[in-house]
Amino acid sequence: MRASGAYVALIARGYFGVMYDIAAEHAPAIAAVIVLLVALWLVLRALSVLAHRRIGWAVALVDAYRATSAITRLAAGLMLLSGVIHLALIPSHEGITGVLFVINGFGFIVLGVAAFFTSWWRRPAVLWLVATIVAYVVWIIAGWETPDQIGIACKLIEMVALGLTMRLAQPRRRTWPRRIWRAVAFPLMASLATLGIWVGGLAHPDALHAHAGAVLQPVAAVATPAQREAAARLLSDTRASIARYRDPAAAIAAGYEPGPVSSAEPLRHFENKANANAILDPNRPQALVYAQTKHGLRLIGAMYQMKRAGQWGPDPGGPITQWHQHEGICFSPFGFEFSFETPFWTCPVGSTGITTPPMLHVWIIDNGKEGPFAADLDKTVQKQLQGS
Amino acid sequence: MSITSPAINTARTASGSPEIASVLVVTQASLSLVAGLSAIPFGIVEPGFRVLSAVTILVAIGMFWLARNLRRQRRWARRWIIALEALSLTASLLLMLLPIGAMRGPVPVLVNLVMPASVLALLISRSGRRAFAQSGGND
Repeated sequence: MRASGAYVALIARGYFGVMYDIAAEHAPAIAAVIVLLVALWLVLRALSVLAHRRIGWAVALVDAYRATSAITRLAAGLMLLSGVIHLALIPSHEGITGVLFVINGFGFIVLGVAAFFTSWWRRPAVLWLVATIVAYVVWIIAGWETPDQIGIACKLIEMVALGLTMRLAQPRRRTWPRRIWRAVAFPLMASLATLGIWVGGLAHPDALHAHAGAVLQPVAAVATPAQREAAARLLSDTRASIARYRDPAAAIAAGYEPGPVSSAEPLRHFENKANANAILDPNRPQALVYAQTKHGLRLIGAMYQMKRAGQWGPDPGGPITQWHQHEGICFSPFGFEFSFETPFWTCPVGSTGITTPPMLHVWIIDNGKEGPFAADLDKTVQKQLQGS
Repeated sequence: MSITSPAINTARTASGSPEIASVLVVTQASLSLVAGLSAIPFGIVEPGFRVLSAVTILVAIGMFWLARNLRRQRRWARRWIIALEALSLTASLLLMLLPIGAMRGPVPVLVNLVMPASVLALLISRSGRRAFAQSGGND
Protein backbone atom coordinates (compact mmCIF):
# COMPACT_ATOMS: atom_id res chain seq x y z
CA MET A 1 0.00 0.00 0.00
CA ARG A 2 1.21 3.47 -0.73
CA ALA A 3 1.82 5.39 2.42
CA SER A 4 1.48 9.10 2.84
CA GLY A 5 2.69 11.80 5.18
CA ALA A 6 0.53 11.27 8.25
CA TYR A 7 0.90 7.54 7.92
CA VAL A 8 4.67 7.75 7.95
CA ALA A 9 4.60 10.29 10.76
CA LEU A 10 2.54 7.96 12.91
CA ILE A 11 4.88 5.06 12.32
CA ALA A 12 7.81 7.26 13.25
CA ARG A 13 6.08 8.23 16.52
CA GLY A 14 5.58 4.61 17.43
CA TYR A 15 1.82 4.68 16.88
CA PHE A 16 0.46 1.18 17.30
CA GLY A 17 -2.66 0.71 15.24
CA VAL A 18 -5.91 -0.20 16.86
CA MET A 19 -8.06 -2.50 14.85
CA TYR A 20 -11.36 -3.68 16.22
CA ASP A 21 -12.43 -7.18 15.40
CA ILE A 22 -14.90 -9.55 17.02
CA ALA A 23 -13.23 -11.39 19.88
CA ALA A 24 -14.01 -15.11 19.56
CA GLU A 25 -15.21 -15.31 23.18
CA HIS A 26 -17.65 -12.45 22.52
CA ALA A 27 -19.39 -14.22 19.61
CA PRO A 28 -22.18 -15.73 21.85
CA ALA A 29 -23.49 -12.18 22.28
CA ILE A 30 -24.58 -12.16 18.63
CA ALA A 31 -26.56 -15.36 19.14
CA ALA A 32 -28.07 -13.91 22.34
CA VAL A 33 -29.24 -10.79 20.48
CA ILE A 34 -30.93 -12.90 17.80
CA VAL A 35 -32.58 -15.12 20.43
CA LEU A 36 -33.81 -12.05 22.35
CA LEU A 37 -35.32 -10.43 19.26
CA VAL A 38 -37.12 -13.64 18.28
CA ALA A 39 -38.25 -14.23 21.89
CA LEU A 40 -39.58 -10.68 22.24
CA TRP A 41 -41.53 -11.02 19.03
CA LEU A 42 -42.99 -14.37 20.13
CA VAL A 43 -43.90 -13.02 23.58
CA LEU A 44 -45.64 -9.98 22.10
CA ARG A 45 -47.55 -12.18 19.65
CA ALA A 46 -48.56 -14.59 22.40
CA LEU A 47 -49.69 -11.73 24.67
CA SER A 48 -51.67 -10.25 21.82
CA VAL A 49 -53.46 -13.58 21.20
CA LEU A 50 -54.16 -14.07 24.93
CA ALA A 51 -55.42 -10.50 25.31
CA HIS A 52 -57.71 -11.08 22.35
CA ARG A 53 -59.19 -13.99 24.31
CA ARG A 54 -59.84 -11.64 27.24
CA ILE A 55 -57.40 -13.23 29.67
CA GLY A 56 -57.05 -10.68 32.47
CA TRP A 57 -53.32 -10.50 33.07
CA ALA A 58 -52.56 -10.59 29.33
CA VAL A 59 -54.98 -7.71 28.74
CA ALA A 60 -53.25 -5.75 31.51
CA LEU A 61 -49.81 -6.38 30.05
CA VAL A 62 -50.88 -5.45 26.54
CA ASP A 63 -52.54 -2.30 27.87
CA ALA A 64 -49.33 -1.36 29.68
CA TYR A 65 -47.32 -1.92 26.52
CA ARG A 66 -49.71 0.13 24.40
CA ALA A 67 -49.83 2.91 26.96
CA THR A 68 -46.06 3.29 26.78
CA SER A 69 -44.61 5.87 24.40
CA ALA A 70 -42.57 4.74 21.39
CA ILE A 71 -39.44 6.41 22.74
CA THR A 72 -39.82 4.57 26.08
CA ARG A 73 -40.40 1.28 24.29
CA LEU A 74 -37.25 1.72 22.24
CA ALA A 75 -35.16 2.75 25.26
CA ALA A 76 -36.48 -0.28 27.17
CA GLY A 77 -35.80 -2.58 24.22
CA LEU A 78 -32.23 -1.33 23.91
CA MET A 79 -31.63 -1.81 27.63
CA LEU A 80 -32.99 -5.36 27.41
CA LEU A 81 -30.63 -5.91 24.47
CA SER A 82 -27.64 -4.65 26.45
CA GLY A 83 -28.68 -6.75 29.44
CA VAL A 84 -28.85 -9.92 27.39
CA ILE A 85 -25.47 -9.15 25.75
CA HIS A 86 -23.89 -8.76 29.21
CA LEU A 87 -25.43 -12.01 30.46
CA ALA A 88 -24.25 -13.86 27.32
CA LEU A 89 -20.70 -12.68 27.94
CA ILE A 90 -20.49 -13.85 31.57
CA PRO A 91 -18.80 -17.21 30.76
CA SER A 92 -15.93 -15.42 29.01
CA HIS A 93 -15.33 -12.92 31.83
CA GLU A 94 -13.83 -14.08 35.10
CA GLY A 95 -13.49 -12.48 38.52
CA ILE A 96 -14.88 -9.06 39.28
CA THR A 97 -15.66 -8.37 35.61
CA GLY A 98 -17.88 -11.46 35.47
CA VAL A 99 -19.67 -10.46 38.69
CA LEU A 100 -20.24 -6.95 37.33
CA PHE A 101 -21.61 -8.44 34.10
CA VAL A 102 -24.17 -10.42 36.13
CA ILE A 103 -25.24 -7.31 38.08
CA ASN A 104 -25.22 -5.18 34.94
CA GLY A 105 -27.16 -7.70 32.84
CA PHE A 106 -29.92 -8.20 35.41
CA GLY A 107 -29.96 -4.46 36.18
CA PHE A 108 -30.66 -3.62 32.55
CA ILE A 109 -33.36 -6.28 32.31
CA VAL A 110 -35.08 -4.99 35.46
CA LEU A 111 -34.91 -1.39 34.19
CA GLY A 112 -36.07 -2.45 30.71
CA VAL A 113 -39.13 -4.17 32.18
CA ALA A 114 -39.71 -1.39 34.73
CA ALA A 115 -39.97 1.14 31.89
CA PHE A 116 -43.36 -0.38 30.99
CA PHE A 117 -44.82 -0.54 34.47
CA THR A 118 -43.33 2.20 36.62
CA SER A 119 -42.72 5.92 36.65
CA TRP A 120 -39.42 5.85 38.57
CA TRP A 121 -37.28 3.97 36.04
CA ARG A 122 -35.85 6.95 34.13
CA ARG A 123 -33.31 8.33 36.62
CA PRO A 124 -31.93 4.92 37.64
CA ALA A 125 -31.69 4.03 33.94
CA VAL A 126 -29.67 7.17 33.15
CA LEU A 127 -27.32 6.44 36.06
CA TRP A 128 -27.03 2.77 35.10
CA LEU A 129 -26.28 3.56 31.46
CA VAL A 130 -23.71 6.25 32.29
CA ALA A 131 -22.06 4.00 34.87
CA THR A 132 -21.88 1.12 32.38
CA ILE A 133 -20.33 3.25 29.62
CA VAL A 134 -17.84 4.85 32.02
CA ALA A 135 -16.94 1.46 33.51
CA TYR A 136 -16.29 0.05 30.04
CA VAL A 137 -13.95 2.93 29.21
CA VAL A 138 -12.14 2.51 32.54
CA TRP A 139 -11.76 -1.24 31.93
CA ILE A 140 -10.37 -0.56 28.44
CA ILE A 141 -7.92 2.08 29.63
CA ALA A 142 -6.78 -0.14 32.49
CA GLY A 143 -6.21 -2.99 30.04
CA TRP A 144 -8.69 -5.34 31.80
CA GLU A 145 -10.74 -5.60 28.60
CA THR A 146 -9.80 -5.43 24.91
CA PRO A 147 -11.94 -3.18 22.72
CA ASP A 148 -13.72 -5.32 20.16
CA GLN A 149 -16.73 -4.81 17.92
CA ILE A 150 -19.20 -6.54 20.26
CA GLY A 151 -18.20 -4.32 23.16
CA ILE A 152 -18.23 -1.18 21.01
CA ALA A 153 -21.59 -2.10 19.42
CA CYS A 154 -22.99 -2.64 22.93
CA LYS A 155 -21.77 0.83 23.96
CA LEU A 156 -23.43 2.30 20.85
CA ILE A 157 -26.72 0.62 21.85
CA GLU A 158 -26.35 1.99 25.39
CA MET A 159 -25.52 5.47 24.13
CA VAL A 160 -28.68 5.55 21.99
CA ALA A 161 -30.68 4.23 24.99
CA LEU A 162 -29.11 6.96 27.12
CA GLY A 163 -30.01 9.63 24.56
CA LEU A 164 -33.60 8.40 24.43
CA THR A 165 -33.90 8.22 28.22
CA MET A 166 -32.43 11.70 28.65
CA ARG A 167 -34.87 13.00 26.06
CA LEU A 168 -37.77 11.77 28.21
CA ALA A 169 -36.88 14.22 30.95
CA GLN A 170 -39.41 16.97 31.60
CA PRO A 171 -37.27 19.94 32.66
CA ARG A 172 -39.03 22.07 35.23
CA ARG A 173 -36.59 24.96 35.29
CA ARG A 174 -35.36 26.12 31.89
CA THR A 175 -32.36 28.14 32.99
CA TRP A 176 -29.54 28.73 30.51
CA PRO A 177 -26.93 26.58 32.34
CA ARG A 178 -29.42 23.71 32.40
CA ARG A 179 -30.23 24.19 28.72
CA ILE A 180 -26.55 24.19 27.81
CA TRP A 181 -25.91 21.11 29.94
CA ARG A 182 -28.83 19.28 28.30
CA ALA A 183 -27.43 20.18 24.87
CA VAL A 184 -23.82 19.15 25.51
CA ALA A 185 -24.14 16.26 27.98
CA PHE A 186 -24.87 13.56 25.44
CA PRO A 187 -22.33 14.61 22.73
CA LEU A 188 -19.74 14.98 25.50
CA MET A 189 -20.47 11.48 26.75
CA ALA A 190 -20.20 10.06 23.21
CA SER A 191 -16.94 11.92 22.56
CA LEU A 192 -15.35 10.87 25.84
CA ALA A 193 -16.40 7.25 25.34
CA THR A 194 -14.86 7.22 21.86
CA LEU A 195 -11.69 8.88 23.09
CA GLY A 196 -11.44 6.47 26.03
CA ILE A 197 -11.81 3.38 23.85
CA TRP A 198 -9.20 4.78 21.48
CA VAL A 199 -6.71 5.65 24.22
CA GLY A 200 -7.22 2.26 25.85
CA GLY A 201 -6.61 0.47 22.59
CA LEU A 202 -3.45 2.50 21.96
CA ALA A 203 -2.15 1.86 25.45
CA HIS A 204 -2.59 -1.90 25.14
CA PRO A 205 -2.00 -2.89 21.50
CA ASP A 206 -2.67 -6.43 20.43
CA ALA A 207 0.36 -8.65 19.73
CA LEU A 208 -0.71 -8.96 16.09
CA HIS A 209 -0.77 -5.20 15.47
CA ALA A 210 2.54 -4.30 13.84
CA HIS A 211 2.28 -0.58 13.23
CA ALA A 212 -0.19 2.05 12.13
CA GLY A 213 -3.23 0.16 10.92
CA ALA A 214 -1.37 -3.08 10.16
CA VAL A 215 -2.63 -6.42 11.39
CA LEU A 216 -0.20 -9.32 11.12
CA GLN A 217 -1.05 -12.79 9.87
CA PRO A 218 -1.30 -15.24 12.81
CA VAL A 219 1.66 -17.62 12.54
CA ALA A 220 3.65 -20.11 14.61
CA ALA A 221 6.24 -18.70 17.01
CA VAL A 222 9.31 -20.49 15.62
CA ALA A 223 10.29 -21.27 12.02
CA THR A 224 11.32 -24.80 11.07
CA PRO A 225 14.59 -25.40 9.12
CA ALA A 226 12.48 -26.05 5.99
CA GLN A 227 10.69 -22.71 6.46
CA ARG A 228 14.01 -20.88 6.91
CA GLU A 229 15.23 -22.45 3.68
CA ALA A 230 12.01 -21.53 1.84
CA ALA A 231 12.23 -17.93 3.09
CA ALA A 232 15.83 -17.65 1.88
CA ARG A 233 14.77 -19.04 -1.50
CA LEU A 234 11.93 -16.51 -1.79
CA LEU A 235 14.36 -13.67 -1.02
CA SER A 236 16.94 -14.82 -3.58
CA ASP A 237 14.29 -15.52 -6.26
CA THR A 238 12.71 -12.09 -5.71
CA ARG A 239 16.10 -10.35 -5.78
CA ALA A 240 17.06 -12.12 -9.02
CA SER A 241 13.69 -11.48 -10.65
CA ILE A 242 13.36 -7.75 -9.94
CA ALA A 243 16.99 -6.89 -10.67
CA ARG A 244 15.88 -6.06 -14.22
CA TYR A 245 13.81 -3.17 -12.82
CA ARG A 246 16.69 -1.27 -11.19
CA ASP A 247 16.00 1.41 -13.74
CA PRO A 248 12.46 2.73 -13.05
CA ALA A 249 12.02 3.24 -16.80
CA ALA A 250 12.31 -0.53 -17.28
CA ALA A 251 9.59 -1.06 -14.65
CA ILE A 252 7.31 1.44 -16.37
CA ALA A 253 7.96 -0.26 -19.73
CA ALA A 254 6.96 -3.57 -18.14
CA GLY A 255 3.61 -2.17 -17.00
CA TYR A 256 4.40 -0.90 -13.49
CA GLU A 257 2.70 2.41 -12.70
CA PRO A 258 4.47 4.86 -10.34
CA GLY A 259 2.55 5.78 -7.20
CA PRO A 260 2.04 9.38 -6.09
CA VAL A 261 4.98 11.48 -4.92
CA SER A 262 4.92 12.71 -1.32
CA SER A 263 7.49 14.92 0.37
CA ALA A 264 6.88 13.10 3.68
CA GLU A 265 7.16 9.62 2.17
CA PRO A 266 10.56 8.52 0.83
CA LEU A 267 9.24 5.21 -0.56
CA ARG A 268 7.41 4.94 -3.86
CA HIS A 269 5.43 1.88 -4.88
CA PHE A 270 5.15 1.04 -8.60
CA GLU A 271 2.09 -1.19 -9.09
CA ASN A 272 1.38 -3.57 -11.94
CA LYS A 273 -2.33 -4.35 -12.20
CA ALA A 274 -1.63 -7.10 -14.74
CA ASN A 275 -0.06 -9.11 -11.91
CA ALA A 276 -3.14 -8.90 -9.69
CA ASN A 277 -3.96 -12.60 -10.00
CA ALA A 278 -0.42 -13.86 -9.33
CA ILE A 279 0.10 -15.41 -5.89
CA LEU A 280 3.56 -14.96 -4.36
CA ASP A 281 5.18 -15.34 -7.78
CA PRO A 282 8.73 -13.86 -7.72
CA ASN A 283 8.48 -13.29 -11.46
CA ARG A 284 5.28 -11.27 -11.13
CA PRO A 285 5.25 -9.21 -7.91
CA GLN A 286 2.26 -6.89 -7.58
CA ALA A 287 4.48 -3.88 -6.82
CA LEU A 288 8.08 -2.71 -6.78
CA VAL A 289 9.34 -0.47 -3.97
CA TYR A 290 11.80 2.33 -4.72
CA ALA A 291 13.44 4.67 -2.23
CA GLN A 292 13.71 8.34 -3.06
CA THR A 293 17.44 9.15 -2.62
CA LYS A 294 19.47 12.23 -3.44
CA HIS A 295 20.56 10.47 -6.62
CA GLY A 296 17.09 9.45 -7.75
CA LEU A 297 14.99 6.34 -7.22
CA ARG A 298 16.71 3.22 -5.89
CA LEU A 299 15.06 -0.23 -6.11
CA ILE A 300 14.89 -1.65 -2.58
CA GLY A 301 12.26 -4.37 -2.71
CA ALA A 302 9.06 -5.91 -3.99
CA MET A 303 5.57 -6.19 -2.58
CA TYR A 304 3.32 -9.22 -3.01
CA GLN A 305 -0.38 -8.68 -2.47
CA MET A 306 -3.46 -10.91 -2.35
CA LYS A 307 -6.72 -9.97 -4.06
CA ARG A 308 -9.12 -9.74 -1.12
CA ALA A 309 -8.96 -8.49 2.48
CA GLY A 310 -8.62 -11.33 4.96
CA GLN A 311 -7.24 -13.70 2.32
CA TRP A 312 -3.82 -14.41 3.82
CA GLY A 313 -1.25 -15.53 1.25
CA PRO A 314 0.94 -18.61 1.42
CA ASP A 315 3.79 -18.10 3.89
CA PRO A 316 6.52 -20.56 2.90
CA GLY A 317 8.76 -19.16 5.62
CA GLY A 318 6.15 -19.46 8.40
CA PRO A 319 6.76 -16.70 10.96
CA ILE A 320 9.56 -15.28 8.81
CA THR A 321 7.28 -14.47 5.88
CA GLN A 322 4.35 -13.06 7.82
CA TRP A 323 1.79 -11.16 5.73
CA HIS A 324 0.02 -8.05 7.01
CA GLN A 325 -3.06 -6.08 6.03
CA HIS A 326 -3.98 -2.51 6.84
CA GLU A 327 -7.28 -1.98 8.65
CA GLY A 328 -9.25 0.86 10.15
CA ILE A 329 -7.80 3.43 7.80
CA CYS A 330 -9.68 6.46 6.49
CA PHE A 331 -8.63 7.00 2.91
CA SER A 332 -9.18 10.28 1.14
CA PRO A 333 -8.96 10.26 -2.66
CA PHE A 334 -8.28 14.01 -2.46
CA GLY A 335 -4.50 13.99 -2.35
CA PHE A 336 -4.24 10.28 -1.58
CA GLU A 337 -4.13 10.79 2.19
CA PHE A 338 -4.77 8.64 5.24
CA SER A 339 -6.03 9.00 8.80
CA PHE A 340 -7.50 6.50 11.24
CA GLU A 341 -11.08 5.42 11.77
CA THR A 342 -12.62 6.05 15.17
CA PRO A 343 -13.58 3.00 17.23
CA PHE A 344 -17.13 3.56 15.92
CA TRP A 345 -15.80 3.18 12.37
CA THR A 346 -16.44 6.75 11.34
CA CYS A 347 -14.23 8.77 9.03
CA PRO A 348 -14.16 12.47 8.17
CA VAL A 349 -16.53 13.53 5.39
CA GLY A 350 -14.90 12.92 2.00
CA SER A 351 -12.90 9.92 3.14
CA THR A 352 -13.85 6.29 3.54
CA GLY A 353 -12.76 3.44 5.74
CA ILE A 354 -10.73 0.84 3.89
CA THR A 355 -9.08 -2.49 4.57
CA THR A 356 -6.31 -3.46 2.18
CA PRO A 357 -5.76 -7.03 0.99
CA PRO A 358 -2.85 -8.76 2.77
CA MET A 359 0.63 -7.87 1.56
CA LEU A 360 4.17 -9.14 2.02
CA HIS A 361 7.23 -6.95 1.49
CA VAL A 362 10.53 -8.48 0.41
CA TRP A 363 13.41 -6.05 0.97
CA ILE A 364 16.34 -6.84 -1.30
CA ILE A 365 18.65 -4.45 0.58
CA ASP A 366 19.95 -5.06 4.10
CA ASN A 367 16.93 -4.11 6.23
CA GLY A 368 18.80 -3.97 9.53
CA LYS A 369 17.25 -5.65 12.53
CA GLU A 370 13.78 -5.70 10.92
CA GLY A 371 14.86 -8.29 8.35
CA PRO A 372 14.05 -8.87 4.67
CA PHE A 373 10.31 -9.63 5.16
CA ALA A 374 9.34 -6.94 7.66
CA ALA A 375 6.15 -4.98 7.19
CA ASP A 376 8.20 -1.78 7.30
CA LEU A 377 11.60 -0.61 6.29
CA ASP A 378 13.98 -0.33 9.25
CA LYS A 379 14.02 3.31 10.43
CA THR A 380 17.84 3.48 10.45
CA VAL A 381 18.01 2.07 6.94
CA GLN A 382 15.34 4.53 5.83
CA LYS A 383 17.37 7.46 7.20
CA GLN A 384 20.50 6.18 5.49
CA LEU A 385 18.67 5.90 2.19
CA GLN A 386 17.29 9.41 2.48
CA GLY A 387 20.78 10.74 3.16
CA SER A 388 22.45 8.76 0.37
CA MET B 1 -51.70 -0.66 41.42
CA SER B 2 -53.21 -0.83 38.02
CA ILE B 3 -50.47 -1.13 35.47
CA THR B 4 -52.27 1.32 33.27
CA SER B 5 -52.41 3.95 35.98
CA PRO B 6 -51.59 7.53 35.03
CA ALA B 7 -48.32 7.32 36.95
CA ILE B 8 -46.89 4.93 34.41
CA ASN B 9 -46.18 7.16 31.49
CA THR B 10 -45.43 10.64 32.56
CA ALA B 11 -43.30 11.08 29.46
CA ARG B 12 -45.95 10.22 26.93
CA THR B 13 -45.82 13.70 25.53
CA ALA B 14 -42.20 13.27 24.47
CA SER B 15 -42.81 10.44 22.08
CA GLY B 16 -42.98 9.55 18.45
CA SER B 17 -40.90 9.45 15.35
CA PRO B 18 -39.46 13.00 15.43
CA GLU B 19 -38.15 12.50 18.98
CA ILE B 20 -36.54 9.13 18.26
CA ALA B 21 -35.14 10.33 14.94
CA SER B 22 -33.65 13.41 16.61
CA VAL B 23 -31.87 11.26 19.21
CA LEU B 24 -30.42 9.07 16.45
CA VAL B 25 -29.30 12.14 14.50
CA VAL B 26 -27.66 13.58 17.64
CA THR B 27 -25.82 10.27 18.09
CA GLN B 28 -24.67 10.38 14.46
CA ALA B 29 -23.62 14.02 14.87
CA SER B 30 -21.60 13.14 18.00
CA LEU B 31 -19.80 10.36 16.12
CA SER B 32 -19.14 12.73 13.19
CA LEU B 33 -17.81 15.36 15.56
CA VAL B 34 -15.34 12.88 17.02
CA ALA B 35 -14.31 11.79 13.50
CA GLY B 36 -13.69 15.42 12.57
CA LEU B 37 -11.77 16.21 15.74
CA SER B 38 -9.68 13.05 15.49
CA ALA B 39 -8.56 13.99 11.97
CA ILE B 40 -7.05 17.29 13.17
CA PRO B 41 -3.66 15.75 14.15
CA PHE B 42 -3.42 14.20 10.69
CA GLY B 43 -3.90 17.63 9.19
CA ILE B 44 -0.44 18.56 10.49
CA VAL B 45 1.15 16.63 7.63
CA GLU B 46 -1.89 15.94 5.43
CA PRO B 47 -3.18 19.22 3.98
CA GLY B 48 -6.29 17.54 2.57
CA PHE B 49 -7.34 16.32 5.99
CA ARG B 50 -7.28 19.86 7.36
CA VAL B 51 -10.13 20.66 5.01
CA LEU B 52 -11.95 17.35 5.56
CA SER B 53 -11.66 17.73 9.32
CA ALA B 54 -13.13 21.25 9.24
CA VAL B 55 -15.92 20.18 6.88
CA THR B 56 -16.76 17.20 9.12
CA ILE B 57 -16.96 19.36 12.25
CA LEU B 58 -19.21 21.83 10.40
CA VAL B 59 -21.42 18.98 9.16
CA ALA B 60 -21.66 17.64 12.73
CA ILE B 61 -22.67 21.06 14.06
CA GLY B 62 -25.23 21.31 11.26
CA MET B 63 -26.62 17.92 12.23
CA PHE B 64 -27.00 18.97 15.87
CA TRP B 65 -28.94 21.98 14.66
CA LEU B 66 -31.09 19.88 12.31
CA ALA B 67 -31.78 17.39 15.13
CA ARG B 68 -32.95 20.27 17.34
CA ASN B 69 -35.33 21.48 14.64
CA LEU B 70 -36.46 17.94 13.89
CA ARG B 71 -37.54 17.64 17.51
CA ARG B 72 -39.49 20.86 17.06
CA GLN B 73 -41.12 19.21 14.05
CA ARG B 74 -39.91 21.66 11.44
CA ARG B 75 -40.71 20.32 8.00
CA TRP B 76 -37.58 21.78 6.38
CA ALA B 77 -35.43 19.99 8.96
CA ARG B 78 -37.19 16.72 8.09
CA ARG B 79 -36.48 17.30 4.39
CA TRP B 80 -32.80 18.07 5.02
CA ILE B 81 -32.36 15.06 7.27
CA ILE B 82 -34.05 12.77 4.75
CA ALA B 83 -31.71 14.07 2.01
CA LEU B 84 -28.59 13.69 4.19
CA GLU B 85 -29.50 10.23 5.44
CA ALA B 86 -30.43 9.03 1.96
CA LEU B 87 -27.09 10.30 0.65
CA SER B 88 -25.22 8.68 3.51
CA LEU B 89 -27.05 5.37 3.10
CA THR B 90 -26.51 5.32 -0.67
CA ALA B 91 -22.80 6.07 -0.27
CA SER B 92 -22.46 3.33 2.35
CA LEU B 93 -24.25 0.80 0.15
CA LEU B 94 -22.06 1.70 -2.82
CA LEU B 95 -18.90 1.42 -0.70
CA MET B 96 -20.12 -1.94 0.54
CA LEU B 97 -20.14 -3.19 -3.03
CA LEU B 98 -16.53 -2.17 -3.58
CA PRO B 99 -13.82 -4.66 -2.51
CA ILE B 100 -12.22 -2.20 -0.07
CA GLY B 101 -13.38 -3.70 3.22
CA ALA B 102 -15.39 -0.62 4.20
CA MET B 103 -17.95 -2.66 6.19
CA ARG B 104 -16.48 -5.30 8.42
CA GLY B 105 -18.44 -6.32 11.48
CA PRO B 106 -21.47 -5.15 13.42
CA VAL B 107 -20.26 -1.64 14.36
CA PRO B 108 -19.87 -0.23 10.81
CA VAL B 109 -23.15 -1.91 9.84
CA LEU B 110 -24.96 -0.32 12.80
CA VAL B 111 -23.40 3.12 12.30
CA ASN B 112 -23.40 3.35 8.51
CA LEU B 113 -26.45 1.31 7.53
CA VAL B 114 -28.84 0.65 10.42
CA MET B 115 -28.83 4.16 11.89
CA PRO B 116 -29.40 6.09 8.62
CA ALA B 117 -32.00 3.52 7.53
CA SER B 118 -33.79 3.84 10.89
CA VAL B 119 -33.89 7.62 10.68
CA LEU B 120 -35.22 7.44 7.13
CA ALA B 121 -37.83 4.85 8.13
CA LEU B 122 -38.94 6.97 11.10
CA LEU B 123 -39.31 10.13 9.01
CA ILE B 124 -40.87 8.55 5.94
CA SER B 125 -43.24 6.24 7.85
CA ARG B 126 -46.92 7.11 8.14
CA SER B 127 -46.52 8.16 11.79
CA GLY B 128 -43.52 10.29 10.90
CA ARG B 129 -45.36 12.07 8.10
CA ARG B 130 -48.38 12.54 10.34
CA ALA B 131 -46.27 14.08 13.11
CA PHE B 132 -44.90 16.71 10.75
CA ALA B 133 -48.26 17.26 9.06
CA GLN B 134 -49.84 17.96 12.47
CA SER B 135 -47.10 20.39 13.37
CA GLY B 136 -48.70 23.05 11.14
CA GLY B 137 -46.82 25.27 8.76
CA ASN B 138 -43.56 25.41 10.61
CA ASP B 139 -41.57 25.80 7.45
